[in-house]
Amino acid sequence: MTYRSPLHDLSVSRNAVLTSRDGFTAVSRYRPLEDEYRTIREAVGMTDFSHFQKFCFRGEEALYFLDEILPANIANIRYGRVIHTFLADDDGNLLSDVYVANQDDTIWMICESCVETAVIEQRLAAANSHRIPYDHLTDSFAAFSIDGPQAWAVAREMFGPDVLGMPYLSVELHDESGDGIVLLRTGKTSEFGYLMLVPVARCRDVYERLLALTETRSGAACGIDVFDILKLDGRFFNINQEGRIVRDPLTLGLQWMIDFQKDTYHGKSAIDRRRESGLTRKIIGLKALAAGTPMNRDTRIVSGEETVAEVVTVGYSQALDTQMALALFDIRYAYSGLEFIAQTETGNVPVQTVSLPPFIPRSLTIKLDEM
Amino acid sequence: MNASIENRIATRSAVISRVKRDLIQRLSLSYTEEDLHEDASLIGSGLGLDSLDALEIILGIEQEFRVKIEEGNISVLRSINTIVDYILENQTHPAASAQVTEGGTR
Amino acid sequence: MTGYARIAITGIGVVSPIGSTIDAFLESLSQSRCGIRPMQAFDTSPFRTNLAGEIPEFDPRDELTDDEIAEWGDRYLWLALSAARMAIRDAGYSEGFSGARTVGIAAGTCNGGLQTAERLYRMLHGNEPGHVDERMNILFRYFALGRALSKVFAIGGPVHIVTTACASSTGALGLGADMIRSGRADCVLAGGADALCLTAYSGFSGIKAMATGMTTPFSGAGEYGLNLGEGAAFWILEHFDGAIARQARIYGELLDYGLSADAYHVTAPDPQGAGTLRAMRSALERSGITPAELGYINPHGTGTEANDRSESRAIEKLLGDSSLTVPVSSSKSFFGHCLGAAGILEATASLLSMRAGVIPPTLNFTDPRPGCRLDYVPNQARPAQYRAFLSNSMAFGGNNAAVCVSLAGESPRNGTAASERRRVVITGTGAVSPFGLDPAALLTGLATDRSAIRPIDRFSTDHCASHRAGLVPQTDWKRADRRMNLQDLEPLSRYATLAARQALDSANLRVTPRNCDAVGMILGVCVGPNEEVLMNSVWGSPDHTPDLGKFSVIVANSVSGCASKELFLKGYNTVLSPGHHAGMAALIQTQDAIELGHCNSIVCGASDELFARYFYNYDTVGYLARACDEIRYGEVLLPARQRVLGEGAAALLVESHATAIESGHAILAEILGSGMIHDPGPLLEGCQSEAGLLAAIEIAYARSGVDPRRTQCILRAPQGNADDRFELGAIEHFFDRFGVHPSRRTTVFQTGYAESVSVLFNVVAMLNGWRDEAMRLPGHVLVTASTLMGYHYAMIMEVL
Repeated sequence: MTYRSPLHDLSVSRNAVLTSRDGFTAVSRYRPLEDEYRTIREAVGMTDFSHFQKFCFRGEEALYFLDEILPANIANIRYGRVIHTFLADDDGNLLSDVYVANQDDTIWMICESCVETAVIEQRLAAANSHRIPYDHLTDSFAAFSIDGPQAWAVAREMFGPDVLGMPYLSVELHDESGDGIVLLRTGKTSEFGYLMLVPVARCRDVYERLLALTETRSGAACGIDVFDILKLDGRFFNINQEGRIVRDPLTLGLQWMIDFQKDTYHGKSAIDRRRESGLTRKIIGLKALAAGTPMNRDTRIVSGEETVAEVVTVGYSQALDTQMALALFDIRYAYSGLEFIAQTETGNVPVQTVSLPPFIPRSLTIKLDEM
Repeated sequence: MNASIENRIATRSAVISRVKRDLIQRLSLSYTEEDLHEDASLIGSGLGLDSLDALEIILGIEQEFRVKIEEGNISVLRSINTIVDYILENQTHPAASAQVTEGGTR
Repeated sequence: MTGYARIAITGIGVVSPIGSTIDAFLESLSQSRCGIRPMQAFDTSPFRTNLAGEIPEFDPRDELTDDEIAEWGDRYLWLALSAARMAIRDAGYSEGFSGARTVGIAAGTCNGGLQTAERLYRMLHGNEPGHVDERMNILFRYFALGRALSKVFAIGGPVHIVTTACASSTGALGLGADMIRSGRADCVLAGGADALCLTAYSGFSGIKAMATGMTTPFSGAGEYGLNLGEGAAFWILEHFDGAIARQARIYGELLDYGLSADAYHVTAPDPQGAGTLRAMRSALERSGITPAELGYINPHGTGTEANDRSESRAIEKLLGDSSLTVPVSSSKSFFGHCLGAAGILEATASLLSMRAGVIPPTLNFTDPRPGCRLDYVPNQARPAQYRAFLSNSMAFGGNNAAVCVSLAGESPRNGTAASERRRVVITGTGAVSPFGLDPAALLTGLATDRSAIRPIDRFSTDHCASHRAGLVPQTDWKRADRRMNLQDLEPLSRYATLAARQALDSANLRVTPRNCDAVGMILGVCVGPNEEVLMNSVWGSPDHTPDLGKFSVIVANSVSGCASKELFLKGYNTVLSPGHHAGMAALIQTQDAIELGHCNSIVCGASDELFARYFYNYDTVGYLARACDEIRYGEVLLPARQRVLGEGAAALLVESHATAIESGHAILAEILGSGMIHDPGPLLEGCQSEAGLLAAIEIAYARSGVDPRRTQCILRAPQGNADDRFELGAIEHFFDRFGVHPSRRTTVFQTGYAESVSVLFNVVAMLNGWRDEAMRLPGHVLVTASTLMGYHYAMIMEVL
């Protein structure tokens, strides 16, 4: 059965273009992607991410349970803090990009997955030998995010001035008006980002209030596809693009999500083996130096006669006004600042490996504590 | 491998390695050099460093590479790659810095 | 139940960049005369600014004799002694106190003897001839401050040295008030001092907290930062009724105070100001004052980007509707940030201004900064009649302190009854010792009569006369307890944090957002974190470039800062550094803080780290057992001063009886009474006497109401040398009177003498079942500790 957001009808009534994959249907976009991109890089966009898998655990025991599954050190997650990590299968291949939030002993686990919800659910259930009680809330909670250099202003209007003091990767419960909203300061766009979990019964009302505030800041509703470009040129890991294709967290450069001192987590032995034998390939960013036939997935990157990389994911960055790509490079060539040739379908295009992120997002120039 | 690319890789990887070593040692990171992807974010997301760590990194880079990072420059410390780019663009010529050292010892 | 003890302020002494008499100080404040100028004492060219609140005209000879100047040879001590002498004279006690046991000291400092330490490191780097001597080795320890004040003014009562960095002297005022309210003293000399030091200057410059020009608290755009300053101030606090009876001039009443921890970051304040807000609220509530009754707030107001906004935000929340009507001004715009002296100087500025009917301004004020929305009294003093003010301090490590003062006779609690004194019990224990990383390891080691003293492998002792110590076994700290970031902490903090965690765990106290405000921490730290890397970076480089990571954790209270952050303890929080047996001073203040209702649950602890320079200094001055004696520690009586060192940390969870019962925590022991006094004496001669400890023991028994004959055993923390004769003599003579001779125990000879913590190792071991026939436990236990530097402690516990 395909998952639909509780806001599905509302979105459809607003002329959303829909997309379906991994057992869910969500809003692809409302407007052309360039417009939505500009909205989020310049103002604020509001997006329905209700298809994220959401689980809720209670108490200290739950932390130790999650600690045995996830590669980050979940045991020392602070109150009010969020840890960004992943969930892997036993072969050390990615299943989900995961946030774990410790909101006053209520532990929220929010997964953006490249597999169907049932896979994640089964995995948790199978690992739960101590029968830790938890709730699967994907159906009972909606999830929205607001992202952009103006997102803070919307959040302040909605939740009050203290919200500006929230550091990146933190969580608060906002229950003053009985909304019971779990607010996370997160974001994978390099702009300000807030993710909200809202009980389904109230989600329509909250969504409309937020959207109204978003619109007063020149913002608008956006779909989920624009995030593929935002993550690409902001160099945030994207489980739906490179993650889905490459699967190995080390090749993807996600070592920072792993506590290598841990004794157990799902996929540890496979990941440790790969770490010991050393990387042979590595993800590196590219930009096209000239117009021409765009790169595609599997486009070969060559240096002279030698193939040095294959393109994994591509997108057109408005921030850089050029085509960008992530490519899987032979480790010997995996450095930024080098020129190569992309052999596209109809000809050669000069490309350059780049240091990512390659531009300064507007949010970085705004000091929230001055607001 | 073509010689020009090989040269550039050699120069860059040497700087990357020094930056990583400095970071690991200065901030007591429990990662190896190979664990640190050059594009991983340093502050906030990724390695999750704070502003005090950032000052330490700046101090370390300035001492190690004889470059000056202006206060308020927010683009340098975004990733190891952005640091390395900055060093390669701004570093005093190695020979010049050796002379400075000699002069300093007299 | 007695009446609520009111506390009169009867004397003030001040040495500051804007005047070193009360009149000059007040005149500068009301005439907007700034004391920040180009620094003279050292070259500031490598740093962000040359401006500082220096007192180049300060001449110690104005107040001190040549002998006093020679004996207490560090600038911060001269500042302290000068200000204290003025305060004592001002209060009408010019003749001194003749060693009275009912007069106490509560003094705060941040840098302490850093100038002496700087001399040492200049010597080590060949920039100055000489090497460490006994005098230097004492002068750069925090306890020199208490020793100097007690000796010069013949003060023989309780002494607290508060080392919560920039919140030190505000905390000292509070602890001074506690001393009177707890009945330990009738009169207290309270305040603080700090001198400008290049090391601190380089650090504040390095972390870019220093302004590039003149500091502009709460105003200006972009050019944020502080100027450092120096100075000292002291107040005489005494019983209000006593002050009336002797017809003393009463400047005002110290109503009450509040302390808290941010549990947020080592240097940056919580941006929402939640920590400082808790301290201010607690001070107001305890004082019985509503925000509307406040006429003025003197904020910490450093001028840094991180401070001013978060503090303004906290004040807004504190005041609620009255936020725009209560004026707030930063005295640091007059004299810079005087660190450990900041709190007392600012409270003094406020008190004198209140009496004069003015509100001092914030200087250099242009447009308010974004996010700063209060009335900052720009540039010109303002006439105003008011009856109470609040003075607020915040510090590195997240220590916050606030104190509330009213005009004489304006205490809102005038005539109200004191609440009943709470019973105080111990419900949890923790220890990281040379025997291992938990209390069980300590106990096993003690039970097998083994010694944990072993050859030092952490640093070379090739050139030393001594080679052994009790060292905490090192481990993979990342794995030791994965709930915490132990691997990122300095060893001193790491030991303390782990021991504190054990104390909480053993009582089953989970600290969560719901109860974190109600759990506090008081630590005793003799020496402070290892200064070697920082000092070598500053003094080994031509531009004095500090290691910033080490600078941010060099203050003694970084230990409680790190521990409270790891453990999420946001309640009452302070650090005491009275030298040896600092853990005992911490335990006594813990008892008082719970009895007086400051906090219901407090993790009390102490920590020592044995590092190379600390060992080498002791070795050089001959304070360590020679190699031939080390292996027989405890069996041979060593020559005076000598010992074998140990290290580690211990912690106790101490709670009010009601809280322990309510929470279902098993009670291990009840603290029935304690005594703490100081023997005045010269710097170099040990001034232990039998009389000192005897007095402390007598006070402890008198306060506990326990018949000494019921004492089952005595826990001691001796050094194993000839100096112990005073301590042993005191114990023997005391019990001779009652015809009993309880057995005596100590952990010292098996763990090594850990300066701060040995006394608590004894208690933790005992509460974990360290027993034998002769100890006759359960029952009443006397815990004693006595130091060469004249600090003496005794506590009676009933072990269950």
